[in-house]
Amino acid sequence: MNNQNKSINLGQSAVLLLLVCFIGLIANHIYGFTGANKESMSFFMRLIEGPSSLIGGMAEAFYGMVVIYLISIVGLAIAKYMPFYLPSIAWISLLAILVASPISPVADIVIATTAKVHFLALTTSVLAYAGFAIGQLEIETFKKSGIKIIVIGLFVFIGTYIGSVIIAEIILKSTGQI
Amino acid sequence: MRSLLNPKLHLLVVFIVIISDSIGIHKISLGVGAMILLPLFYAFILATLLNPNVVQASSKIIDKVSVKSSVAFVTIAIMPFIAKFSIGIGPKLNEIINAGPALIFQEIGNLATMLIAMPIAILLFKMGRESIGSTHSIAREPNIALISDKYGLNSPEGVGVMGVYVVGTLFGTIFFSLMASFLASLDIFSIQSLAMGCGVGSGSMTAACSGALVAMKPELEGTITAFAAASNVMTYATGLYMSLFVALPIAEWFYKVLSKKERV
Repeated sequence: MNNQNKSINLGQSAVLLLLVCFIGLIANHIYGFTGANKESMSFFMRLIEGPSSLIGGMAEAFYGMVVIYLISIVGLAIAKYMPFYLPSIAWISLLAILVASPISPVADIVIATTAKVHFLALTTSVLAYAGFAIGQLEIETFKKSGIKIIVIGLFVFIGTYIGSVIIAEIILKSTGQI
Repeated sequence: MRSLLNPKLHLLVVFIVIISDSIGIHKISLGVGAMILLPLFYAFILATLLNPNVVQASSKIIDKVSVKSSVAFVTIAIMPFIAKFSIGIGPKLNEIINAGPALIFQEIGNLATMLIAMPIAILLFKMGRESIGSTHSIAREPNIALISDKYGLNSPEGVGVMGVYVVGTLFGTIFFSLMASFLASLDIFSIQSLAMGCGVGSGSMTAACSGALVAMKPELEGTITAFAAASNVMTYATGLYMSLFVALPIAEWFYKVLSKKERV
């Protein structure tokens, strides 16, 4: 199979990644705020206090985000120059595992700095973009297939999830892992 | 490049992110179980409502041309998450290697998709070959590439796979977090297995699913993220080949069996 990642534009990706990492820092700060003070503060208090202490809070996670940024861009470069195809996120993932594994000389730094970045905070912007990305294709598909495809889709998710969970449970139990 | 950096789109995204993360995580009790609502959930709904393609009135705030580049940003914005998430495997590498056989075999769990969904598609909804496209896998990008390569996207199989792809894009993330938190609240399966199941879909499905599990069991965050991330890597690395060599041939066979039954 040809490597279709050859067309990745690294310069452009570097700029776009910078933007999403910056948004990630904002999200991460506010997320930390709602996580820690969740019970004691009202939504409006969080909305005021979160953004107003933004600069100091963002500094804390800054180095972690730099590490995450570097892994993402180097992973993309690997995806581009490898002779065979794997999705670019697979390369990013494998690189992240490698630099954080016990054989890595920088594992401690990678783990300690990125501990300040919460993974869920990095997904808020993904879903915001996904909401804006709904276009004609999605709307046409529903006009064509209607409610049927929604029902089938939900059964596909249930089947895949529960199927995987059951197999995992059986094998983990039989190999004595749990 | 300039069209990609349209400030209006990104300012709106920042605005949505601030609102959504300020609302925070909420747990809803349902009697028998519980469900978790995550910030990504609110972000998706807010953005959908502001999307002029969906809500006409929103074109006063942002026009259809300006939201076009968001497709590219979904792919970019998931990368930092994937990096952070996979770092979580590092410290737990031994545990993950010990769970290796489970990680490999649970990829076969994909086949359960078909066993449940295809009979519904054919016997209940009287679907034709669309059912092969829609139920042979969880219909993410690699599966679309495969189906379009083999049958073409305008074929019935292509229409089927695109249908479930769209359902996944619109409801998959939210559905995964609700399904995982509900299943976890029933206390039937171990947290490792529930986390591994999270990795079967796209990056944002994995995120929503494991985020919901972490909200249920915060003290097990390290284990949950490591197992979900490892399973997600396996899916990325093997998903395409699994569909090509295993799922699709079985889907063709199962389709023949079911549609014969239908004719009798």
